[in-house]
Amino acid sequence: MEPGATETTWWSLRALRFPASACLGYLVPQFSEWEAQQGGLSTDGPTSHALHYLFEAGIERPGAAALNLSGSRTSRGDAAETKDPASPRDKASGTVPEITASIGSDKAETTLWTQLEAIREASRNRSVGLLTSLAPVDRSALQRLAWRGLPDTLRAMAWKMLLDYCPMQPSRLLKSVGRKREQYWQAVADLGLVSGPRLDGRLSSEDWVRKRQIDLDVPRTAPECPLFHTSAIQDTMTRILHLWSVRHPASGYVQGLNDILVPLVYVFYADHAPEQFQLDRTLVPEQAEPLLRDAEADAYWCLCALLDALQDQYVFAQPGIQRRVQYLERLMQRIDAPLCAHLAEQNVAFMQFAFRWMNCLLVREFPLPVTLRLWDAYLSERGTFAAFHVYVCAALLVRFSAELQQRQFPELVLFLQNLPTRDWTEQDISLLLSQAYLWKAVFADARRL
Amino acid sequence: MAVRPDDEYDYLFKIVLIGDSGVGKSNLLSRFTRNEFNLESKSTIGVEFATRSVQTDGKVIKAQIWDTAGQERYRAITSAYYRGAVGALLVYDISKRSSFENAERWLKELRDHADQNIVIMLVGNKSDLKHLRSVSIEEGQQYAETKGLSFIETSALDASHVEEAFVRILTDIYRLVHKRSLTTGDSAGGKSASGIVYQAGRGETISVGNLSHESRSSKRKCCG
Ligand SMILES: Nc1nc2c(ncn2[C@@H]2O[C@H](COP(=O)(O)OP(=O)(O)OP(=O)(O)O)[C@@H](O)[C@H]2O)c(=O)[nH]1
Ligand SMILES: [Mg+2]
Repeated sequence: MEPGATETTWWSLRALRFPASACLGYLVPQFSEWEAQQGGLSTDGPTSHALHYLFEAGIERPGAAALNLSGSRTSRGDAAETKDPASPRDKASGTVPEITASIGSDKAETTLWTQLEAIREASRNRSVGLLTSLAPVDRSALQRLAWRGLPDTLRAMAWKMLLDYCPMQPSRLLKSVGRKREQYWQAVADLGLVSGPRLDGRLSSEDWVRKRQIDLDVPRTAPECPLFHTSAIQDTMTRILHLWSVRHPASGYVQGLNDILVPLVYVFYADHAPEQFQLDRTLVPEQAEPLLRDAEADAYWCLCALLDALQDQYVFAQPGIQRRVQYLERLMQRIDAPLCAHLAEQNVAFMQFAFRWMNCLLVREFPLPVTLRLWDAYLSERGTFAAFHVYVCAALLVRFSAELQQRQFPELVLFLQNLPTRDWTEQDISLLLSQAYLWKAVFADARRL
Repeated sequence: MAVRPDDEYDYLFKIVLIGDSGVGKSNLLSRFTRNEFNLESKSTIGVEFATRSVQTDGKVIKAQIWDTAGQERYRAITSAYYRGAVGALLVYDISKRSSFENAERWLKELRDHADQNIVIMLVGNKSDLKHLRSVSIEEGQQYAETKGLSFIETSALDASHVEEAFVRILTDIYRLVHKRSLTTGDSAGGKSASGIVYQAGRGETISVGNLSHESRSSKRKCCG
């Protein structure tokens, strides 16, 4: 089957509401056959080639006419049960945008943008009346928008909604968020953290150990962004991390949580005071600080929500990380056996490099703006994103498969420790996401992975 | 496959860097392998790896160094890397007394997870912080003596004694390998030190050696 025909068939099958995995199951062998007839065009294996092609052909194309963003009935209810990446299921249909023949995507997208923009403005001006008049946000539409990357101006609002921190119902927004912000600052005051990160005598000795580790790590956070060296941000980070660790005694503070907090703090701060929060800023003006009290509280609650699904990564012996790294390895055996063989031959264990990928959600591997794009997609998959993350890690490995297979032991590990992703753009992330998405669709059914 | 010159070595030793978080393990490593120091280096998550070769006795020794995360929570992950290491740099911060007091715990970690013949060097880092010193040289030295460790003070910041620390532990290991190979017979049981790998002229790695069974001639054949 030729690529062109593949695309058509894909859309026809999807229009008949076959799950994406079933469509791929049908298409991939056909495509491979065609490819074989052509003398094997693809270097990275027929399957991955086909998947890539299919995705680029459709879902990822910006403003693709086939995507109906206006209130389709994609079921999301089943999302929560898919915590374990190895559990057999077919969730593909839950997240693939439903395909219809309508050409309404751009319009629907614009409507959602305008809506979010209005909510953002009204909540900044604390205009209760206006908020009450605004329609509730359609969650699945928001998820689809986020999956494809959020505009900078709407990111903060969208993330807060996707993490269920802000209600979808604008009329409830101010009250609900206001209460949370108060709770945060009260808790901080109770801990004696209120006047900056200095402490009075209210901490237990265990708290002190945590505090010491946090104090060590905060100045070592995001060293490439001067903004994170300002005392305003460092105090914020310290308070959030400390409160989080006190409230989550099973794990406490674990190194790397500081990295995970970076995108949240940055996005919420920048939303409140965009002029002051350029990443290369070295000073936060004092008059900006009151505004930031809200941003700080928001970042705290969103960190809680985000880490909810990941608790098992940070408790004793870090079983969540062990499990996900093992899953990544099994997945890679299916996707790229030659690379796995090479890694094994060179004695490079997955744990060696993938541990950090799991522990820090890839924040360390990409420049911050690129991470934000990645997280747009993660948050759109809230609840299942921990599993999805494993597929993204797989896509990352495959992306560098050729380079990795050319390298022998020491260089191989050095390469993995320091991937050449410094110059990555959102485009690179989009491709990575597409690839990951399709593998998830294909392999989610595989019981024995 | 052709071997590049920097890939040629006579011995390959696996070394681990351990000690409390923030004592400067990663900076010691970057100073030694790349001559770099970074005030805001990120914390180590899990393990990181680097390598460098040095010459001693006319032999090229390649050090494979594993830098581990200092936080307690990572112990389960990092201790897996002690296996097969022939040397350990146990680092503390001379300006942080608690990191020195924790040396005992780190030694226990090594006893539990590393090979029993592992060569250990106690390293008091941040010697540039004179005004903040809270562990004296004598104290460090004395403790090392009672535990049978070698001792050195370093500063990753101003580079003093960093090279020396690594070269000394590598040389110590090298000497030990020799001494043992001369004094022990074939039947001696001895603890395996599989972190030592000998390389033949053609550049392929031949053997994961057993410390007590090695002899010079075994460089060219597998004797594990
Ligand atoms: N003054 C001084 N500071 C140092 C020295 N070595 C490291 N530091 C600083 O101490 C801090 C911690 O250094 P790291 O090398 O990251 O410490 P580590 O032991 O690797 O820490 P973990 O990765 O968390 O286990 C950094 O801010 C370094 O700049 C030194 O010799 N002198
Ligand atoms: Mg380190």
